[in-house]
Amino acid sequence: MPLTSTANRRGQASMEPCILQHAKRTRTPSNHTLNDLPIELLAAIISDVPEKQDLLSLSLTSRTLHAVAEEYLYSSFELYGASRINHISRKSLRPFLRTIIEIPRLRGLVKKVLIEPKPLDVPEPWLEEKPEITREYSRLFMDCCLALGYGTSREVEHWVNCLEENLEEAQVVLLLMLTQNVMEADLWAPYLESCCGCPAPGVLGIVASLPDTKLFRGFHTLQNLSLDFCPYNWGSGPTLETIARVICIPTLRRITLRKPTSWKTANLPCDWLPQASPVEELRLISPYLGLEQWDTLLSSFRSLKVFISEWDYGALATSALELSDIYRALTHQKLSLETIYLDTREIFSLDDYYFPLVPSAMGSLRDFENLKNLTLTGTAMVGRSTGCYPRLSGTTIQSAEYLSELLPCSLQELTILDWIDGWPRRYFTAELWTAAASLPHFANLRKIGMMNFLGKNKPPELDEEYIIPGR
Amino acid sequence: MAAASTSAVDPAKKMIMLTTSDNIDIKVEREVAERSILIKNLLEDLGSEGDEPIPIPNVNEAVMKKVLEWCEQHRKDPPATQDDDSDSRKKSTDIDEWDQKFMQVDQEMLFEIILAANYLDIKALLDVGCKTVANMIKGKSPDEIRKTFNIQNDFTPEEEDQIRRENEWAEDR
Repeated sequence: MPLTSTANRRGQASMEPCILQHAKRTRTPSNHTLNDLPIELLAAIISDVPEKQDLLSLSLTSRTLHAVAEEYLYSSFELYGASRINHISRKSLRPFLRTIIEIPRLRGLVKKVLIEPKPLDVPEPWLEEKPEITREYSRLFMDCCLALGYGTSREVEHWVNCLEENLEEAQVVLLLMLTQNVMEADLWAPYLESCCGCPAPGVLGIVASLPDTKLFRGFHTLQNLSLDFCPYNWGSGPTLETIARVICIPTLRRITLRKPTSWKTANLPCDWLPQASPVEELRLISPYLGLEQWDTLLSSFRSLKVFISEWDYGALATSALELSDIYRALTHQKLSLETIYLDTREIFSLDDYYFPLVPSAMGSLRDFENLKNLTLTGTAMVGRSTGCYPRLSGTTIQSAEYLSELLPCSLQELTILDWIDGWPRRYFTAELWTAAASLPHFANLRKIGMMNFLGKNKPPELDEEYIIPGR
Repeated sequence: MAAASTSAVDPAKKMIMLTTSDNIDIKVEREVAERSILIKNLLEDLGSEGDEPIPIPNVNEAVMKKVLEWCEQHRKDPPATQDDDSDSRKKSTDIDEWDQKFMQVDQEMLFEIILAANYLDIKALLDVGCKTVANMIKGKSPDEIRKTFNIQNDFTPEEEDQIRRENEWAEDR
């Protein structure tokens, strides 16, 4: 067989890189400029240009570049809060909305929205021109609701009246309603609810008022949602109702909840159903939830594969939870969970008398038959805190056999979180790992790591790694 | 393994021949050439011999030599995993020092390398090429971009105005 025919056959059959099959055919001979590259390669280059200003410059250079750059320019919209001293970005919301309302094609390009809490310390940029903008937005909001089929005209009129008092909220609600192809969203949770003490409904309020809403409508393509419940400048706590509703968005696979609190106990939506959520990965950052709410939350998922939680001191102290309670709540998902990451360092670092590091509760993880990756704070495995740090009493890790009572045999990777030179380290010696790895119970264990805690708000860094030979 | 007396040559070190678009034969170690998924697949299809020259009809000698220089430098790099590509690639536009020097070539060559990396299916080289061009774009005005890349402005003034108006929100962010 002639070589060339083999080459062609193979070249076409090649599976990757996917951007490039077309490019191979449309190659131009010489005198290349950026403009002459195949579209797929242009897109690969432009995907490496993150700044909006640069993308705008690109889209102003030529028609070809405009066509490609526009897609990236509109792929995300980000509205920063006080943390990034950026009220410029908040000023951009109105022109952005105007554009996507005028040009429906562009709103379809938005795949990601990020909306941080409203900063307190900067003047609202629209104050001077408020009456005019209010009128403009009332009209836009009304058109938008009616066009998308939200509410009757009387209801919409009522919402608009409410929204006039909260213009920014109105704009954000409008943004969320218009960007129907969003796959990733990072939002300040109040925007989803009736918010800021104002009677205006957030997106959820609007959607929930629809007669045929069983659980949730809207966000038809959302896969990854991050909700910030940080309560600053916002009176009452958010509710479990919000969480119960959003986790049931049918396309959702991953959700992050930052500082979820729940002051009221029984505020589930009346149509809440257990095990209705398709989410596979749950991240809870500093949850302030009571035991009942933990139970409700963790019974909401059909099958959770990944559970990640990081606490701060206040969280457990407020809710008087014990780690064993968390394990118990997790048993709702014990057959599906493959990864558990529980970072409780922050709590123990504050000499908590009551924080319960309950070794006996570790036994319950033994039934997690499919657990492959486990990350725990060293203290959670070493012993019970019955006095001030660093005094210990109760069980401590003495032997590999003890570890095999705590951990399931499906475990493949175990990581211990620790402080630099922290005291749990002396328990987790190479001898212990060697002994543990040689037990038949740990036949699947491939890797044990120690991660160091470098300081508040810094990610831990891998310090030591013990790889079990031959696995 | 221990008694392997037949072929003393390590298959990775075995030389193969590539024929470029301008009909030049280039001899190269198999392991180096196999950074190209296209060539790797071709060699697998042909069996392990690889004695016949392999035609590379889309790449000329100068570009091929440059590409092979990169492959030689990166011959031991671990293959990229599937998970890597989308997320981690986008996060960083950092390019390692050797690659930065390697990419200090005229634009004609830069685009030729990108096209060749794409054709030969060398993902890591394609990434470096794309990032190099992306870095040339950053911080420039539309005019400066046109000058840098020799691009004709084919917008009417009205179209340009329209684009500016639509995208007012993206200015000075």
